Amino acid sequence: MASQISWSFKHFDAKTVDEAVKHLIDSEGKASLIAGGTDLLNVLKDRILPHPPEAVINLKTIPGLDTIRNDPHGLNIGALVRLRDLASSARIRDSYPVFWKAATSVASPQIRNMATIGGNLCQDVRCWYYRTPRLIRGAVVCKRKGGTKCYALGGDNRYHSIFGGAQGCHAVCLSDLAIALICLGAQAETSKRTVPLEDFILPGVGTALDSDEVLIGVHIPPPETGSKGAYVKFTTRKATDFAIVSVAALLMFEKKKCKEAKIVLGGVAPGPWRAESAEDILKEETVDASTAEAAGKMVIAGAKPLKENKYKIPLVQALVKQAILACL
Amino acid sequence: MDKEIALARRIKLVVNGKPVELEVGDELYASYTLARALRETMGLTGTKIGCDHGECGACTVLMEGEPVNSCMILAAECDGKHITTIEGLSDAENGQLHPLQQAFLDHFGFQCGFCTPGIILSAKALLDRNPNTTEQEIKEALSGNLCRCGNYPDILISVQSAAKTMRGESK
Amino acid sequence: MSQELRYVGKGVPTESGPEIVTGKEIFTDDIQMAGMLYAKMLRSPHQHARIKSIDTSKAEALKGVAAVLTHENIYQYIPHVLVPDTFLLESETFYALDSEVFYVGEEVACIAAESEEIAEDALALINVEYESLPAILDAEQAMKKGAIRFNTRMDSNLVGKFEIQDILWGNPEQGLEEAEIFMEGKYSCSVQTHATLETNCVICEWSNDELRVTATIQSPANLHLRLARALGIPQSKIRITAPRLGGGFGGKPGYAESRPCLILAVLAKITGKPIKIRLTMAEKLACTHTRYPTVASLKAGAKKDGSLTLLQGNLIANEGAHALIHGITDGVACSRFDTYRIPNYDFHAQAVYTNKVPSGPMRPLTGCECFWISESFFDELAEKLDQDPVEFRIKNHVKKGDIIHMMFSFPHAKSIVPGGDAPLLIGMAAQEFGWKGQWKGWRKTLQVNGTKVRSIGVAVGNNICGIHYSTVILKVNPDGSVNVGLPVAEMGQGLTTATSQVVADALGVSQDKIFIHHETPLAGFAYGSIAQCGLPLNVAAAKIAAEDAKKQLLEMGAANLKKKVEELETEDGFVFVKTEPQQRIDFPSLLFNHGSYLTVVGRGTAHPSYMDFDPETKLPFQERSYHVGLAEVEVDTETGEVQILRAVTGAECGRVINPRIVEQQMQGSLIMGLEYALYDGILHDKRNGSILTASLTDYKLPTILDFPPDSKTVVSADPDHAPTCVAYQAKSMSEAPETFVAPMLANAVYNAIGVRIREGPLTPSNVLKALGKVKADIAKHGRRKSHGEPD
Repeated sequence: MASQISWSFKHFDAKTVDEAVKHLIDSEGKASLIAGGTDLLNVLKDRILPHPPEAVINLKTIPGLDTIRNDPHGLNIGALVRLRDLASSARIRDSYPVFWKAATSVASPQIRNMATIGGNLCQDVRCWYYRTPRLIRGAVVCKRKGGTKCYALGGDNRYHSIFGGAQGCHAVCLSDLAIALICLGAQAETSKRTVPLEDFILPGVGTALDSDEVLIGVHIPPPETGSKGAYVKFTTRKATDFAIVSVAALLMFEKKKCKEAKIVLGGVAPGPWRAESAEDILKEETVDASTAEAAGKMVIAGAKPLKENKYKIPLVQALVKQAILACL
Repeated sequence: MDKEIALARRIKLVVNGKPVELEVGDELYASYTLARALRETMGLTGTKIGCDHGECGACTVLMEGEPVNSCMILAAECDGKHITTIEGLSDAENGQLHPLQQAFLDHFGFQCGFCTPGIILSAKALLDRNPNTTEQEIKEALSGNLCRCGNYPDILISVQSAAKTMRGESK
Repeated sequence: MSQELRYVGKGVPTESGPEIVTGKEIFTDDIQMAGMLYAKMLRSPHQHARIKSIDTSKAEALKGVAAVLTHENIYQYIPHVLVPDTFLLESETFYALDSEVFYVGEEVACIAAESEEIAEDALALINVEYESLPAILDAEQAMKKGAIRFNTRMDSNLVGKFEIQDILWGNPEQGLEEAEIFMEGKYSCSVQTHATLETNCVICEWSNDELRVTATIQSPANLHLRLARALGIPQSKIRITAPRLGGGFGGKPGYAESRPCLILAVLAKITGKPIKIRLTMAEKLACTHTRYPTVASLKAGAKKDGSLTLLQGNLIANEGAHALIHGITDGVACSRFDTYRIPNYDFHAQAVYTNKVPSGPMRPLTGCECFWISESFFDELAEKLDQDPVEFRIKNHVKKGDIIHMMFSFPHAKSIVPGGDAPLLIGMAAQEFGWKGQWKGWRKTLQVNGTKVRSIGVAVGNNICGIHYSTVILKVNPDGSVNVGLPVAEMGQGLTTATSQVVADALGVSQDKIFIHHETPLAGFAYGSIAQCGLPLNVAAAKIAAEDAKKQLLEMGAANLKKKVEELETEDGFVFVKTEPQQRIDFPSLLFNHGSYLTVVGRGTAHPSYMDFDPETKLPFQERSYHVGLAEVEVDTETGEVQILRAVTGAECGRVINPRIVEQQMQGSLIMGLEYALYDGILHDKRNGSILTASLTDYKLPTILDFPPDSKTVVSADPDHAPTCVAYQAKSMSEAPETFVAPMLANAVYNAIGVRIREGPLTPSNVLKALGKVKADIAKHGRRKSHGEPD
C-alpha cells in the first residue's frame, strides 16, 4: 500500500552490501537504510519527512561491517561498529583520544549500545522546526524539506548556525564523531568510492551519498607523533545532550612549538566548521593562554550570528581556548 | 519492489530465558518496536513506554546483557536475540528477588516507580560486569535513565547496597 | 496521645514496592481490553482560526476506522455545554470540541480506530478548511485597550475575577510616606512543564449505562463532577479509577483532561467498545498545560531600621487560551507575596488570555513562577538594607499569629497563620549550611578559580496545606481486613503509604491488613492529589474514618467484654481491656458475634484549615508548609555555566509521618527546581505561539549526573507547628519544596557574579548577557590579524 497517507514500509534484511544497493536501486530512491535505528525510527515515528520511505533496508544483517581493524594506512572502522565498541576500544582510546572522547560523549549508554558510527555520521539535523512531529500541528515543510522558508530565521534560532545557512538551511552539524574525525583527517568509504570525510558531509543537505550508495566504513590515518588532541563539548546537562557548541582540536608539536593545528567545531554551522584562521594563528607559535585566546578570537571572524544565538560568540571563544590549552 | 521478499516473517527470540515467536507482517510501522511487542504481544508490561524516542530510558531492557532502549528497536529486527526484562530478574522458581530489586525496596529506590524497571536493568548490566563499582560509574551507567520524581539520591544508595550484596559483603 | 504510635513517624517501606520492582504494578497504559480501540487527536496548525468546514468522509472510509468526532457531530451525543472548571463555574472558553480554535495544537477532531497507526493515518484524511483569525501571544499586550481579541466570542482578554484577587491592606499611601528606602524591579522566569515519563492516558468504557473511566488522573473526583455535567448523566453512573500514576506534579489534575475524557466517553458509547488514548511525549510537551509565563513589577518601602512599610506590585500571568481553573490564578499568585510582615499592601494580579497552550498548575500552582519574582526581589531589598539575607528573612518572615493572604479568597481576603515558626526553620537550615562562617557580605565570592567564581544564596518558599473537603469511606471486612477508599491518586508522593500508616495507628490494626483503592464514587470524594491536599485532607479524612470505625468496634467490644468503652483500646486487630490486655477479642470474632456478615463502615470528612476561625481575630486559619534553601554555586564567567556545588534544604513538617518519604519529596523538588532555574524550559515560537520544545531532547530533564553532589535536608518537626492538621498534625510536603529552589540559585549566582539576573532562567546565554559578554556588534571581533600584528 504505497499510498501517501500510509507510513508503513517493507523491511529487508540485506545480507551483503550489493544486496543493500540493489534494494536501494529497486526502490527508486524511496528507501531508507537502518543501522542502529536511533535516529531513523524517531524520524519515522514523528512523520517529519515530506514523503514516507516505502522500504527500510537493514544493514545490521551484513556480516563484516562491524569490525575495527588495522590496515597499512591506519585504522579502518566498519560503518556498523557501535559507539560503545568505539568507547571500549583501547586502541582508539590510546591512539585517537580526540575521537575516543567524542564517541564516549554521545547520548546515553543505551543509545551507544545500539547506535553506529555510520549512523552518527549520517544523522539528520535536530532543528526543532525541521523535527516538528506531524501529530502536534500538521506537517511543517521547511526549506530543508523542499519548502520555501527556513523557520529558524525570524524564529527561535538560539541553537542554530552562527556562520550562515547552507542551501537556505540554518540547522547545525551535531555529529560528535564527524567533528573529531575531520580533525583526524579521516576518510569515508562507501560502496562506490572513498572521499575525505569533510566532503562526505554536505552542509544543508546531509551526506554526499547517492540514492544507490551505502557508507561502509571510515578510515583514519595513523596518529602523528607529537600530536595532542582534545574534544570539548558544551552541553546543558552532564549527560545525554547534543552539543550547544563542540570543539575538536589537534595540535602537532615540534620542539615545544605548535607545528600545525587542526580545529573543527560543531554546533556552529550547517556542516563541521574548520577554523582555518585560528589554525593559522597557532602555526609555529608557542601555545599558551595568550595564543589560545587569540585563536579563539579568530574563530569567530566572519561570524554572522542570528538574533537569538549571539551568546555563541563568547562561548565559542572560550571553548576554543579551552580546547587548545587542553592539548598542552 | 521485489515481491518475493516481502512475506510475513517469523521472528524467533528468547525473552527471560523462554523462546518466543513473533509473526510480523510484510508491512511494518516504525512504532511496532520491541517495547510494543513485549508489552502488547507478550503481555510483559513491566517494560514501560515513556518518551518512545530513546530519550528517557523507561523502556530499557537488556539485549545480550547490554541495556538498550526497546522503543528504538524494530520488533522485526530481533531475530535470534536474547532479551531480559524486569520480569526476568526474580528467581523463576521460588520468586526470590534479585539483590537490586530487594535493595530498591529496602532503600526507597523509587517514588512513582515508572522509571524503576529501566533503572534496575541498567544497574544490573553494570553490576554483572563489575560489582566493585564506584559512585561515578554508577551514575554514568544510569545517565540514560531519567527519573522525573528526582529520586536520584536514593537510587544511588539502592544500587550501592545491591553492589555490596553482589560482592558477597554482609548487609 | 493515649497510645504510642507504631507506624506514624517510622520510615516504613513504600506501598506496592514488590509490584513495582518486579514490573507487576499496573499503570494505565498497561491495561489492554478485548476489542479495544485507539484514539488520536487532530490538532490545529493555526494559532487562532475559525473552522469553516470539516470533511471526515475519507477518514471514516479508511479500513479500521470506527468513528470520527468533530464539533459538527459530537453534540448529537452530548449537551452543548461549556466544560465546567473545578468549581463548577462557567469556564468561559472551553467546549468539548469547538468551531473556533485558540492555539496551535488545540484538538479539532478525534479518530477511533483499531490501532494507533491506523488512527494516525486517518488524521491525514480529514480535510479542514480554516479561516485564520488575528491572534495575540503577549499577555502585557493582550491587556491593552483595543488589543486583538483571543476569542471572537469574548469581549475581553482578561480572565474574570473570582472574589478577591488583590492584596489591599492598611494604608499604602502612608506606607510610602514612612519609607526611607525603596526598591523596585521587574522579574520573570522560564516556563516549566511536568514532562512526566508516563504521559496522559485515558481509557473509557460503558457497562450498560455506567461510564467507566480508567485514567492518569490525580483527582478522579474532580473529573467525575465535570464528566457528569458535560455528558448530562448522573454522577452515580460514573466510575473513575486512577491506577498508580507515573508522576503527576499537576500535569494530570483531572480538569485538564476533561476534553479527551469527554470525547473518548462519547466514542466508547457510539462504537460500543472500550477506547484508549495515550498522548505521545510530543503532545504532552507541546499541547498540554505548562506553568504560567509570569511577569511582575514590584516596589517595596522600608525604614532604615529594617522594618518593611509597603509592598506595591503588578503581576501579569499569561493564562493561555483556556482558564483551566477559572478565576483562580491571580488570587493564588497574590499568596506568593505575603511571606514577610508588611502592614501596607497595594498588590494586583491579573490573569490574561492569549492564543497559546493553556497554562495551569504545576507544583504548586503559580508557586515557582511567583517565588522566583518575590524571593529575587526581597533579596535585592535585603541588600539595599545592607542586611544579611538570612537575617533579613528570619527577622521579617511571618509566623504564628501573623496575617497572610487567603489563597482562594473565599470570601475573605485575609487569614491568619495558625501555627508554625519559619524563622526557626531558617535558622536551623542556615546553621547546617554553615552560613555564618561563609557569608562575607553581598557580592562577595567565596573562591575564585581562574574564570570560575563561587558564592552562596538563600531563599524561602511555602504553599497551602490543602484546599476543599475530602471524604473517605473505610470498611472493616468480616475477616478483619480493611478497605480504604481514597478518591485521589497515588503518584509516588507516598500518599498510600502515609494513609495506611495513619489508619493502622488510628484504627489499631496492622498495616499489612489495609488495602487502599482509588476509585470514585465508591471511595468518597476529594479535590485530588493536588494543592498539597494529601496529608492534611485526604489522609486526615482517612484518619477520621478510621476513628469512626474504631468507635463502632469499641462499642461492640464493650458489649462483648462487658466493659465500658473508656476501658477499652484497639491494637493489631484486637479490642482489649487496657488494664488487662489478655482480655481481648479480635475484630473478625467481634463482628461475627454481633451478627453474621456484619461489617463496619467508617466515614470521615476533613475540612481545610480555612474553615476554622481564630476566635480572637475572627479570621480563617490558613495552614501552610514553610521551606527554605541555601546553596553554594560556581559560575564560569567565560561560558556562563552555573553549577550547584552544595545545598541544604529545610522543611517545616509538623509531625513527620514517614521521614524517608519527606526526604524524597525534598530531594525530588530540589532537582525539579534546579531544572526550572537553569534550563531553557518550554519555548514558544513568537510568531504563532507554538511550542518548539516537543521532545525530551529539547525539553531537558536532569539526569542523575546533574543532581548536586552534596545536598542535605533539615526538618523542623514539631507537631505544634501544625495545629489544624488532623492527621497527627502532619503538614504537607509535596509541592512547597520546589518553590524556593530557583530564587535560591538566582540569589547565589548574584553574589557570585555581582550582576542580578531578573529575567530568568540562569542559562549560559543569560549569564553571559548579564556579564556584558554578548555584544550586539561583533564586527570588532571579526577582523583577521596578520602575523606579528599587535592587539
